[in-house]
Amino acid sequence: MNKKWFLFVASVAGFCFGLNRFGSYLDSVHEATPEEKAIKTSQFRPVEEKDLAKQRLEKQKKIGPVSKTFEANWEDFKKQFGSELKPEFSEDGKLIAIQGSRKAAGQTHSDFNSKDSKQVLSRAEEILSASQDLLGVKSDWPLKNVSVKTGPMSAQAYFVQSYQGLRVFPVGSVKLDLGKQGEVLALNSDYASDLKIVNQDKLDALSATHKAVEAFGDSTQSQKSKGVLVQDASKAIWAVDKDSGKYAFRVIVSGREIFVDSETGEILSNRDRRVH
Amino acid sequence: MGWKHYSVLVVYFIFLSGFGSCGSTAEESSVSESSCAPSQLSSGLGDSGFASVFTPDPITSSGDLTLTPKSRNLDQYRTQVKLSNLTGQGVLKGKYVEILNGLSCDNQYGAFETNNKFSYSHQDSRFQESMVYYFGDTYLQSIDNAGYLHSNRPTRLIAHCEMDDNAFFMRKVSPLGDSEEIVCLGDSVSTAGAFYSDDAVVTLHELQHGTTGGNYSMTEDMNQFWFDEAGALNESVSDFMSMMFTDGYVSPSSPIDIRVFSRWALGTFDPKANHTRGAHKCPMYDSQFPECGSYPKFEAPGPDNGFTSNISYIYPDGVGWPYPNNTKSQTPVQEYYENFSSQEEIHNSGMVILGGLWDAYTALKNLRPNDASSVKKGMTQLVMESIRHLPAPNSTTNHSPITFIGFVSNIIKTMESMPEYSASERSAVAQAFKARGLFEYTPIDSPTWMGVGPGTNKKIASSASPGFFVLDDPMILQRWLLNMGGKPSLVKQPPTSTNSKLDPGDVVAIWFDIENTADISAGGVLVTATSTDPDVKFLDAATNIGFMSLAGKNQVQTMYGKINGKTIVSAIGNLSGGRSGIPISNTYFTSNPFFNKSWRTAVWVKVSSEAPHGKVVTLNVQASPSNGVTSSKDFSITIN
Repeated sequence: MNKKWFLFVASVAGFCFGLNRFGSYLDSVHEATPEEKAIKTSQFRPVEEKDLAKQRLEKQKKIGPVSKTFEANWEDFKKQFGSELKPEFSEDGKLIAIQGSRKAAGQTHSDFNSKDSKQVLSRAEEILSASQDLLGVKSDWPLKNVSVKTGPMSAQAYFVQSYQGLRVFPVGSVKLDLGKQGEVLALNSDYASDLKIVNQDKLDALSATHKAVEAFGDSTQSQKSKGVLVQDASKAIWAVDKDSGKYAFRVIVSGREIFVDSETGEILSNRDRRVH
Repeated sequence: MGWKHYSVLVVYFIFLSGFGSCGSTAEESSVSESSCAPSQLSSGLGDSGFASVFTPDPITSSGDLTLTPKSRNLDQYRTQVKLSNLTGQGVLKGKYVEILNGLSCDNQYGAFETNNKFSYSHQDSRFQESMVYYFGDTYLQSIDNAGYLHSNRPTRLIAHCEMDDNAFFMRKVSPLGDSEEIVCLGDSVSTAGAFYSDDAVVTLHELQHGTTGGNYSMTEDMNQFWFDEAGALNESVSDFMSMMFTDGYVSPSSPIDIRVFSRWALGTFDPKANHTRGAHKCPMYDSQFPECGSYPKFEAPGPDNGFTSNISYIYPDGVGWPYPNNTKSQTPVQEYYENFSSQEEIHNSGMVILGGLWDAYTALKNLRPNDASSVKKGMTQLVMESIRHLPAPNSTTNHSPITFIGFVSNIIKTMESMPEYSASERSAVAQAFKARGLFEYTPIDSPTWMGVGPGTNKKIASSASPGFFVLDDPMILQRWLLNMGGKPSLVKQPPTSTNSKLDPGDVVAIWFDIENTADISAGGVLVTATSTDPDVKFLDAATNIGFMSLAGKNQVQTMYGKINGKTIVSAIGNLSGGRSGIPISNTYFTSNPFFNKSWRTAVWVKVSSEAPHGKVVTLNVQASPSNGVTSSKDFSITIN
């Protein structure tokens, strides 16, 4: 009995030892995540950054391991556009910003002309296409280009989030900042990847305009106005929060940008956009 | 009298009636005043013309600092100028701007001249239209020549528009990015016969908002909060660009100080106060103004120092001090601290960056004394290119990422990539900004710099909620919400419940009394407040302009202009040994004692009706100064 018991214990111990060794082997071939690397190198950084990196890692562990695709996406992006690019991610792993420099080591084009709007747009779309998983872009909420700025030193491209052809407000803008060789100087994203529509599109433009003009009248206590200049109501999507979007009308009334809920007629936002 | 005598009399009366009358030029239009252009315009009338304008305002034109809008015969200070880029339709419409008349012609074309001679008396409402065309056109042409014209469509400028005693710029952008831009130049109601169009720097300031905004983004506004450094930068860039453009109208021997912004409109239209701004190193009430020999010193006046006042426009301690001198007090520093309520207002809080830009420009002028036009063009390119690289906001982590320091950093980096600047020019510009505390500054480097202040100041003797100020007066809150464009009906508590505490069911505005334990003052402090307690929630973006919609939590941001550090408190605070001082301390509430006089830095909160009395709620507050590291602290408050 004692011999069998001894053998049993020894085999269990041996199994555990082997498992442990196998685990160590796995650790040695596992590529440390960016967060793990951040923790390891953080002893030379201010305390606050180290704590934040640790918090991110702990949160990541709670929600499960980051998908290999996501990591691979960022590595691929860096290989393509510059290994020195510095990202900023939201707590749920969405890309919010990239900081680059004019001395980007990644792919640049010596024949890129930052004064040519077509080239700028093409380059911007190339970058966006490579980053859309990182940004969390959904196919039914695509990014649309609305503007391109060109110049001898740099170029910028501006995109807005849309749904069924309607622009999303007040979030959803993506700005790409390119150097004169097409290198990534910066990317800023306010894309909302979890939006779902929570209302119905019932109101007509005229009713929405009336609602907006009523709201304007109420909000001009402190400013005299000799006339009410109204821009035609245009349909839009208003992001109430991270998960909810509403069909809305956007009306400009004498410099005030007013959003009207397309189902209830409720005023969603009323802001003076004039600058003095 | 014989017929010869009668013929002489006839000739004489003809002479008096329309030709060569005293004070007018042969170019002056003979069309009657206040007429409007016909609905059917002409064509093929040529692209150039003439006008008679102030260059750029009556005081500068005349060199007479005592002139006011009530002065007689301002017409004598007009200068004839050439108009360019006209579309040839007989109206003031051109490649870059088109001018409408809001007073006489219902926002349609006013001045109409088939000979393109738009010279009018100042008394004629069309004079203002020609002023605006000349300066608007030449200015935007200079922006175009520098390569930074942001729109192919002419900007519409309305002289005599709907605004009383003010002017504004507005951009209407369609969802697909098409933009239409309007500048409104109002008339003064404080002083009859005073028109904002008469001061060219006002026109240029408003036009520059379009150029600044257009170069920054066609999808986002620069200004994100009611008060933030982005908004102050927007205003200061407008001041600077208009001052730089009009530099050259003043001869070196003139008594006019070119570092003053809007000596005509802001300086004379309000008979009760001067509202000018300036690029000097100190405000007008500094004992050594205008040369500001004590810069970068701060000293409060008192009997022990011969009532010497020194305030320096250096970042961040110089932020918020007003520029003009509207007091005869011997102790203006105390006077302004105790009575000036617009410290964080964006037209006032940008004097440091305005001064930095001007100093950089002056440094370049000194290095290229015979090439003024290339200095101006280069500076335009530098400023506009730097604006293009400013970060865009997001609703996840940073709703207002633009800072003075970030902008200056862009300028320095941009200069490095511009081969037309020499090493000495780059160094001079860097030095100019460094002297203003905006480059190579000493940062706040301890992440524990933030503390919880007592929640009091000279105007708030005690705090019902230490660390907070809670405004729960429904009358005030409802009025504020009305003015903000919010919903007054959100506030339901009765006036009798006003107690500066959080009661169940209340909707309130709150501020955090952040204490700064560092020696250095914190500037442009981005405050991020998070609630994880369902009983106390921040209202959404319809009320809170800084609501973080995409953060996935109940979170809001705002910006506090400045929180004093210990050094400035020692310099001018309540001083010991009988010296006079001012009751500042190293907290937000004592840095700006008028913080709670408007909604503009408040965050709005709703307390659940079911919130239990006596419950302690914790709000996490992160403070991120533009000149230092983020610090985080929990602020606890008890439900009444």
